[in-house]
Amino acid sequence: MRHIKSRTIGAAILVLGLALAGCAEKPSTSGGDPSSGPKSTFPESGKVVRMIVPYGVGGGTDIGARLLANDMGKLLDTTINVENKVGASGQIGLTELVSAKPDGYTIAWANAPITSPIYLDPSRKAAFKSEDLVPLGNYVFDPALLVVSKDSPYKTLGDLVNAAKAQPGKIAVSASAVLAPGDMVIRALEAAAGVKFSTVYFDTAGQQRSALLGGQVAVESGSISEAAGALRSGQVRGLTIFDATESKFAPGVPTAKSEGYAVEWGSSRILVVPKGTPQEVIDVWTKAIKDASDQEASRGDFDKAFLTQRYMDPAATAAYVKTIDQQVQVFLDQVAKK
Amino acid sequence: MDAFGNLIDGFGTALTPEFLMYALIGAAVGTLVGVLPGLGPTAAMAILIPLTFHLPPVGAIIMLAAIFYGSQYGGTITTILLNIPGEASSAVTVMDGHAMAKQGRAGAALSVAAVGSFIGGTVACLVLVTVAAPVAKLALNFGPPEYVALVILGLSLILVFAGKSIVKALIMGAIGMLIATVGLDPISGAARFTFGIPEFFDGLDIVPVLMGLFGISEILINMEARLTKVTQAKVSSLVPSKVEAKQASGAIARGTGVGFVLGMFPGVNATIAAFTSYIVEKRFSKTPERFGKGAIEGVAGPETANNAHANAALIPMFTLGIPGSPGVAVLMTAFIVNGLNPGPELFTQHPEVVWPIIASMYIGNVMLLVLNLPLIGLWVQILKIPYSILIGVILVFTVVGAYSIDNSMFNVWVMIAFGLLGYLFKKLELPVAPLVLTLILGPILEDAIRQSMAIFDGDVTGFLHHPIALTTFAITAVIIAFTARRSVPRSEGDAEA
Amino acid sequence: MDTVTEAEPPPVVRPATAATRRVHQATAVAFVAAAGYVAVTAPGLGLYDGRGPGAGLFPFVVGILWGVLSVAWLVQITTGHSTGVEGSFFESLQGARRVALLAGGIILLAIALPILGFQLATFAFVAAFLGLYGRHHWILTLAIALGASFGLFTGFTRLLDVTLPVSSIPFLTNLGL
Repeated sequence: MRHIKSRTIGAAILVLGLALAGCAEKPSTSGGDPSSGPKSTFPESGKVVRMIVPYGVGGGTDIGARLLANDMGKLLDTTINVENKVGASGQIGLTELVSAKPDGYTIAWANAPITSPIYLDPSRKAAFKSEDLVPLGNYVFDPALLVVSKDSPYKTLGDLVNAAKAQPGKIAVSASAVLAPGDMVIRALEAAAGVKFSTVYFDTAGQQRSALLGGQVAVESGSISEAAGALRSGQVRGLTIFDATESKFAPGVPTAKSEGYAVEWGSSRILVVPKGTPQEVIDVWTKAIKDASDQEASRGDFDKAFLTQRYMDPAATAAYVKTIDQQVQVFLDQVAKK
Repeated sequence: MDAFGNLIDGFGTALTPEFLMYALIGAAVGTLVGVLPGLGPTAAMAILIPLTFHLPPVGAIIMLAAIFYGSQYGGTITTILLNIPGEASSAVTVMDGHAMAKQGRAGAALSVAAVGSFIGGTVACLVLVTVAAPVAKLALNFGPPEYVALVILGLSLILVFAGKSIVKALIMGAIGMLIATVGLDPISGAARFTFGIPEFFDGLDIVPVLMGLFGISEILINMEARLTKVTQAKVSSLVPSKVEAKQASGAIARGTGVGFVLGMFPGVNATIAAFTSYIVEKRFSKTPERFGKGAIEGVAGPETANNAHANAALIPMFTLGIPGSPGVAVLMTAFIVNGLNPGPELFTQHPEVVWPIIASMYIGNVMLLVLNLPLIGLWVQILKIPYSILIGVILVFTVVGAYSIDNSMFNVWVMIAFGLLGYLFKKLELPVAPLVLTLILGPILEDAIRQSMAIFDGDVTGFLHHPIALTTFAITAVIIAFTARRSVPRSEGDAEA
Repeated sequence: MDTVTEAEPPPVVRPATAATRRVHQATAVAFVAAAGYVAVTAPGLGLYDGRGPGAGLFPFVVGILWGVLSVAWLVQITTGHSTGVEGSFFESLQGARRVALLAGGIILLAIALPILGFQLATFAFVAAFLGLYGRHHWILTLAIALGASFGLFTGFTRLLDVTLPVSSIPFLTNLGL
């Protein structure tokens, strides 16, 4: 993994040596000396890249980010420092991104769908709009999934929908917070199936699972990466997965589409740069992401975290984010009306 | 069952020099990190996770568990010696712990905390091994309606902290609840008291609030009084006296029970366990007026409860795959990443991994005791350092701690703001304990009420279908009536907070 | 010579000065005002939405309680029935000055951190505190200040991988500060 080296006041000399050694440095010791000389292709040797992770240390995105930063750093022969700037579901970290120079040396994660409410909800007073975050690509997809306890009466999504039709607003489904990914899935399903659930919000995953196993809620709205471990243990059962295809981590769990509900939803991990970054720089990053993620796939890194590799180039990512934005806007209006 | 046999086998595997070394390193590093105010067990584990990347799965988990225990104890050291609760669960220990240090009994406080933690952890470990599964299933019966009842019961005990003025205690309780509402409401998305500042959207982190309210305010008060040393009292001995030991042993026993039972409920964290233990001790003590002034039960009980809770929180993880606390969630991730899926079949499918891990968690407990008891003499020397030197260094440490929470200056400012507020509160004799209690319980109560209503689909009579909740409500009513009757003739001179 | 005192209020109850009572009252009034703000803005967040309490119900109820209790407290202070209203607010003028200076120093430190970076800011703070207030020997001051600033920085960032503030002044940044 990362090798940790020390810095002293004679940093300028060390930086060149470190750049040659190709090791990642600690985030807090600040950027190094730009190497003087004719402008070469991006990234210039000796310059350090800041990768802002707007989510918690040790969390899924953070760990994935560090792995990717390691691989991309080697591919581009540069140093990528991971910085965690946590808060407000990513708003704080992304605010930092948009105030950085659009030269490609500052990149950040803007995962979908949690990033959308930040700039779509006026009460959040975001310092940026959707266009200010230019995607470099998406590399991972974590499909949403509904989980029930192993003795649940619902065997298929159809069962659940019928029950909800019979008792509108009474079937309890758990999610973590309003407009969190789990909540958005529920809303999307409600819209597609024409039903209404009773969404109960729990602070932690532990409480959600406890509520499910204790029978206080009938269904838990989760994702493959969170639930795969529990599915294997047999305590809980996957009811349906909201993706185009079944997941190898949840064998036998049918897709919502196969039952007639065209809902696809999940979390994506998207890297972005500030608006105004030159196209050549974007292209370098796009290729690096693709190559690095292929490397990880071949090493089995994704499998360990129960993640599905799904690469999308900048154009595809931008289009994807647009559709997400449209859906989230609908949800926001829904919430505001209450 | 065969549990003990397996456990012995587990010990056999765990007692290898390699694994013992991991446990030792973890405990040592964890303690050092935990000593730093602001870096509690979860932060310590997150920071030190990279250390474990190169280790084999079992070794990594052993080290992480040791880091967890170590950092918890490290936080206790700073709390007792310097009045700076570095993490939420130390908020309770700080009340009597530092008072004891000022009386020259820091050694006794530290050793009782170490021993209590050890006993609490050991007992919890043994119970984990024997009755884990059925007990865990029992806890599942507690859902939001039951939590509402439990928290209301807990809040009624706020009067335990009332001290001389009930009005002031209630005012502080109200303030605590309101502080807890700051942020984006998770259920409706409405922004509550955020003034449009994104850093407020996730609410105020309790750690900088505590560090300010207790630590910084104490420093300001000491500056005013021109304190030259933390305490002039000579450190009388490093172990408790016979009388103290007897008092402490009762507290340890009760703390184990309290911590263990509460650890089985996912929504109840270690701080609540510690608070509950403190309340239990004060209520059942024949001399409650000693509390807040250096009652050893006020340290022994909560510290034991803390550790018992930490171990008990593993039970839902092992048996049902439910992480009972953030620290356990980190551990659980370590399990999953290494291919071990928490749940009942973990025991049957991977006994060769699970039992050594459980055994080494126990070893981690022992390691902590072995490591820290001799060092108490060393830690206590800190009290001898001239305060003018200590202040500067402590303040720098608290800044590091506050900053490291989110890598942002915001929490430093929160800490400073609450430091100034805490100073004012102390001068006005506004008790801080009720504020901390409601700060922690308030959100749980509000969430539980709204979750219950969501489950009942707006029908309040849904509570009538929950016998456990109803029983608890009844108990609360009885206790309130009892307390009201008791406190009327005794309106003066009641226990001080 | 200042006698060394412990940080507990004196056991003897001294009659309150007018200033002390004013501070208590001012705080109570501030509480009432703040509680009023909460009670007034809370309903805008939604008190009840048909299925359960809205975001505003809890703050509304607690805000009103807080207001009522603070009024009660104010009454207690004014009629002399409140606890803790004794003596003068600050033990001594020098004491008040010390607190103000330390509080000011801490605030300055916090302001300086993002500008000067952790190492410089804390070095200045610790050195000033030890040298000017503690009046320690300059070698001891220098040693502790260096340890608490540069030493801690290196330790935390190198060993523990904890991020600490660096300077926003480019010149200083290039020096690694």
